Amino acid sequence: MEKKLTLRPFSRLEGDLEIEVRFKKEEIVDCCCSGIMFRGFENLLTGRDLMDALVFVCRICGVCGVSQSVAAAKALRKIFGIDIPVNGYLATGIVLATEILLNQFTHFYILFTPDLVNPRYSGHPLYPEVVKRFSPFSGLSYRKMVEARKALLTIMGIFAGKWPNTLALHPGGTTKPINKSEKIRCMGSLKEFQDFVESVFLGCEIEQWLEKRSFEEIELWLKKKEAVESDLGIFLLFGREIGLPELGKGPVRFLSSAGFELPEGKSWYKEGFYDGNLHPLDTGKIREDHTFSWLENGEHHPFEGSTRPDIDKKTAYSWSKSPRYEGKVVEVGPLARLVINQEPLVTSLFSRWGANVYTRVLARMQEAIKLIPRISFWIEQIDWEKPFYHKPDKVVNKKARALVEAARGMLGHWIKVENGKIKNYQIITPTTWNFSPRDSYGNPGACEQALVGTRLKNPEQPLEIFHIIRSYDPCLFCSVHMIEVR
Amino acid sequence: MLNSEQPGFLTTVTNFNLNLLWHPSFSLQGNREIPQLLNNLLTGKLKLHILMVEGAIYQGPRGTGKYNLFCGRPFKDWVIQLSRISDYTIAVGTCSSFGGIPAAGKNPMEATGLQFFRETKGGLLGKNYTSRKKFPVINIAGCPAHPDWIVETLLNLSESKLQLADLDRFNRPRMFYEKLAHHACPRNEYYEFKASAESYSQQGCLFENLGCKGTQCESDCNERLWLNRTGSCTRGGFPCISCTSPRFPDGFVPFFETEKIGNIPTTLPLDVPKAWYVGISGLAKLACPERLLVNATSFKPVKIEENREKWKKS
Repeated sequence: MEKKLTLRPFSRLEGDLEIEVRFKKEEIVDCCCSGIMFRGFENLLTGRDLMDALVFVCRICGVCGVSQSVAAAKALRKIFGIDIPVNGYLATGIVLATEILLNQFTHFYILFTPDLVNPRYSGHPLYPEVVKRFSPFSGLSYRKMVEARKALLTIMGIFAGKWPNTLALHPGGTTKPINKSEKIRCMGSLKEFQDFVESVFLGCEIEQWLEKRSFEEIELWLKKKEAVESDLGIFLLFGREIGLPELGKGPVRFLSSAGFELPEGKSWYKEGFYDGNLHPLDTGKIREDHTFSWLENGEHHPFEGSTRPDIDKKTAYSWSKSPRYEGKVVEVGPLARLVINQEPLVTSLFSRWGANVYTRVLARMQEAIKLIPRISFWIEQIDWEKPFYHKPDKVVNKKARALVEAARGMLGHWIKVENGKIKNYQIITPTTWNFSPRDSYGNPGACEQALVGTRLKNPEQPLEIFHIIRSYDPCLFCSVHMIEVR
Repeated sequence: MLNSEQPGFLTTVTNFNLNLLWHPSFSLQGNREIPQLLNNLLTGKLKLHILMVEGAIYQGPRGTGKYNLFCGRPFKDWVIQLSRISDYTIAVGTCSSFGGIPAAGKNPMEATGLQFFRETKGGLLGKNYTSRKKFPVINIAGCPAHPDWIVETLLNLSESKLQLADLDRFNRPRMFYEKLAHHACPRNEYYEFKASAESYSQQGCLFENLGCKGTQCESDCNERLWLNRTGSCTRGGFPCISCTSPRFPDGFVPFFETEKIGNIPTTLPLDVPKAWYVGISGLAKLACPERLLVNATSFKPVKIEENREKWKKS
């Protein structure tokens, strides 16, 4: 017999999510993920000054506001038709990377691993170790991370003044020049955080960790004593015991943009679409579908998008739209971008295990680890005697698009301008890609696909669902904020 | 809250006499425990000492509150019910205090603060609302609110050390909002001599040209500092936009440039008479040392001797 389960509310997720699953003999046969809060930023920017976008978009989210600012600043820069100084690129990259680092470690310790402490897993040999390290508020590693992240806040404070909601990222560059002394302070703070990562999270130096480039090398490492003495080692061993690699496959189609812009049109990440093979990214193939959203029907490219609420729509079950690429459901996030960038370790683990909760969490942390030397390199590159900012002059383009890689995946802003004012502002956030409802063809969204087929050990306490959802690190605040202005 | 200092987050939740019933980002409880918890509170089985609400209250569409559901019901209805049984009710952030960003412009979402809509008393709970301890909603305004403001208010309340007289006209705890963001701004010497930056990333004062509202904004941001006590808006090189005010955001546009009538900014500090401002700033400009004049429009410190040479040449 088929049974129904409605899950709400959730703790340890950003924003308001509701999930309805139908299951037969403990196996999920169908599900609906609903964003149940509509924040309607869409009409807020109507007719406002272009620069107001900087004030509004970062306030969409208290966790990943910098990525919104980076996208807005980049789109406005194109509207003004200017370039920014090298220091501007570096400082922007450092602030964004610091935010991602903060997010990924906060996600691992505060949002994800507390589920592993669940008494259901108490029979596993590593369970006492998991409890000791990951218990909320009292876990040794949990506490150390909360302390260690303060070092990253120092970098944020020096480069961005305030966070969340910094206004230091402008179309012309960054407003805060960094001097010699501040470079050293930031380097020092980064080293402090690195100490935590090496001593608690990895159990070895980052450099040593990055020498492991394949599934086989990880297997060898996991047999050593040092693995059991590190949080990542415990996660990899324990996660496998409790079956995380069998959970949350998803669509196995990935999208990633050219994240972390560098001077001269270069970027740290490359863009692409992966469906088993790698293809170039073509944003012209993006459409947003409203069939199951509480919005007036439509299927638009984001430049032509609309967001008119229709609360009485019968088919609808979410405030989120359904973005599709070539009409297909895709996943975005650290796993997507590291696979597209052919990062050696993640590519190797992905070909061994596929896409699932386990590889998704691992990819998130692998990216975070790699960001540390990257931030260090960028701080080093800053030439404090050169400018960080060019003053924009006047509007020269009527529309612009900006893609950014945020903590949770690809973020896109599409702006149209008329008489110096915002005419239309559309945003597609990573969570909109991952937690969209069905589209007009009836194809479920990425997380919905990841949930279907999951076997629940105990439907009364569907831990499997929690692992899958949290592996995407959803931010429902963001996903239901598509900003559109007429 | 995770970014609070002295005491930090962990000390606050574990070493003081506080029992965190539920927090959406930190708690273990899930879909089964939370409705149970709410029920225990509403039936009086469990005492609700402090209710903290973040985010504007969405009353739309058409007053139904359906734009934001929580546990199957409009979020606003939960807030109304829980606020009746709490000893103290706190609005965290400018949105839940006064409406903030979601209530900007024509306010299509029908957003409001708990007990204020912008500067008008009322909001969701009405102007006569008091919590069980006879307090109005305590507003910890700011976009975002400084984590210290939240933690210090909590600790004061947990020891019954906050009195009604400690709240200002917008029911914000005076200890955080009786200063101006302008106080302790490192650009103050530039302000005194009206040595102003002309574009962002320069060292001069941001008030005259670049939209800074620090002389109007009631907060201790530049004294307290943010992020491990390293930053503030003006230290980050961008203008204060007065985010602790009930008039935020629309009362402070344009954000990034200063509106002027003639040469006089329209955003003078409220208690400074215009005629005096004009006189003093004229004199100050005349008295401005070369050191400030030159540095105000430079992104990096300029030594004055080097500059003299350049001036001579030109």
